[in-house]
Amino acid sequence: MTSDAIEISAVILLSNFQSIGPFYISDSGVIRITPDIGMLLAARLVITAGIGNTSAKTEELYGPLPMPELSDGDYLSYLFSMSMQQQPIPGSSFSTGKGSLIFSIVFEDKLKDKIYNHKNLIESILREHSSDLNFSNTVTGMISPEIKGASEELLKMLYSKINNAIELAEKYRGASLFDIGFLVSLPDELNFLAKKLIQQPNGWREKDISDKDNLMTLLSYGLVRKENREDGIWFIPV
Amino acid sequence: MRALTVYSTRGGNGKTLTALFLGIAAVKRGLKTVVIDADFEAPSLTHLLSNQTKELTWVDYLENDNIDITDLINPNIIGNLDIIFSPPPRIGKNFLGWKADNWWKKALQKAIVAKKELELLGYDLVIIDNQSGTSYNSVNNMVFSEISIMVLRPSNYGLGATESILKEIFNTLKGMNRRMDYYLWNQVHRVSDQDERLLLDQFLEKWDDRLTALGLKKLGSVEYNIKLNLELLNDNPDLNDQFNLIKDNYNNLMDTILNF
Ligand SMILES: Nc1ncnc2c1ncn2[C@@H]1O[C@H](COP(=O)(O)OP(=O)(O)O)[C@@H](O)[C@H]1O
Ligand SMILES: [Mg+2]
Repeated sequence: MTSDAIEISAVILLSNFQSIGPFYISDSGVIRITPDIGMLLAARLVITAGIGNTSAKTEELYGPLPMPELSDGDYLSYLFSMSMQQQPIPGSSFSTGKGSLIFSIVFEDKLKDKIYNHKNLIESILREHSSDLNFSNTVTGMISPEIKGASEELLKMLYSKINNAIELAEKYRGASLFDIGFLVSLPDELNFLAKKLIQQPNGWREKDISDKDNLMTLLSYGLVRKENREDGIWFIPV
Repeated sequence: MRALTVYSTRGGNGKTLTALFLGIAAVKRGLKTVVIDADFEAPSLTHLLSNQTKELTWVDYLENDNIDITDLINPNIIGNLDIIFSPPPRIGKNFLGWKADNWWKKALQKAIVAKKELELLGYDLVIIDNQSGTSYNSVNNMVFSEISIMVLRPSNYGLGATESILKEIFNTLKGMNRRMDYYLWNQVHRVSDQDERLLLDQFLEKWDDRLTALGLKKLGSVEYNIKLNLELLNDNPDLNDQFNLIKDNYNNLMDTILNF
């Protein structure tokens, strides 16, 4: 996968933050997403996806939703959206607000299957970092250069994290935790959990695994299978 | 239930003998015990014990999904000791060493399932007679067992290589489960000559330091017993009788293991 196969941008929509409306924040700065496209995206989001709907459950991530308006030729655009609780806004008449944070992801058409295969993976990375964007110093009507700068850094980081993770997930395709040589080649935090998981080849109840983050990572890499059984959700080492 | 594997980086150190004698020591104190011959390269229990009654072997179980584990267990082969045998090794492509990676992944999965089944059958102890050296098979058996016993012979030949292999293996096993990894000196030949005795003691001391530095615990030491060695050359040796020749030694080892 080439390093510019995926791009990420972020848009914030503050539903009770009248004067600012949907606001394009920044992008991973690769090639295709420009501030113009970002603003277009921001505007489109309101119409296309009806995002910013305040009844959406906080911190649940939706997507990927196709964004045909932003797709062209070899590139497809999808977005993930997350409603989040806004920090108190000093100087604003609103002490707290609720908003939506939208990540749009643009990637090459031929990567479509990968993006869908690794939806869990992308989701968990976005979720892990969505609250890193802090708008608590935002005053009505503008987003400060500091916040913009911090957002750009964050998106660049997300961009490389997602790229690396997809690359690894591809590499791990067909691998098995019961191949001990492979198991020990996993990073420490994963191999620690993996060593526990293989002790029960028939699977583990969700409640018996406390390290949910790494479990989700193993799941997204295809090294753990999720199964709905009569007595709840089980995770089976592959 | 505890699962224990007896291992060495090369053949002839005494893995099979240790596995059997620990098995005998265990059943003599009332522990329900089974020894699994998992040395696919050099399975020796079939030759040593002629009263195998079950046709199905450990390999059949590992590669098939519909075999009931009780169909592999040969009951009361030495006293109350139960045995699961392996098939005679075949040369060429049918040799297990040629099996694809996937075969070994499934084998580990099945082995861990078998462990649960043996526990349900009421076993207190499973002893695996492991294959020498590093292979998918030997590592799988180390993963299966929470107790391992490295059987070593005091000889410069082989111990250096053993040390580096051990380092690799124990890095792999670290954090696998609550484990205890022992080493055991076997065939320690005590001569009467003072100088030679001193040399042996110094050798053992040096290696005791190096092995404990790797995180291994010393299980103990078993003398070279010439009578035992010779009597095992007979057809159908009575292993209970042989066991009696050095039973104190093995009972002590068993005490240590059961204290874990
Ligand atoms: N403590 C001992 N005293 C005398 N002979 C021994 C002792 N331990 C093992 N032997 C003999 O050494 C040979 C190799 O032992 P074995 O258990 O088959 O080793 P491995 O399974 O590691 O290949 C056998 O002939 C066995 O009888
Ligand atoms: Mg042997």
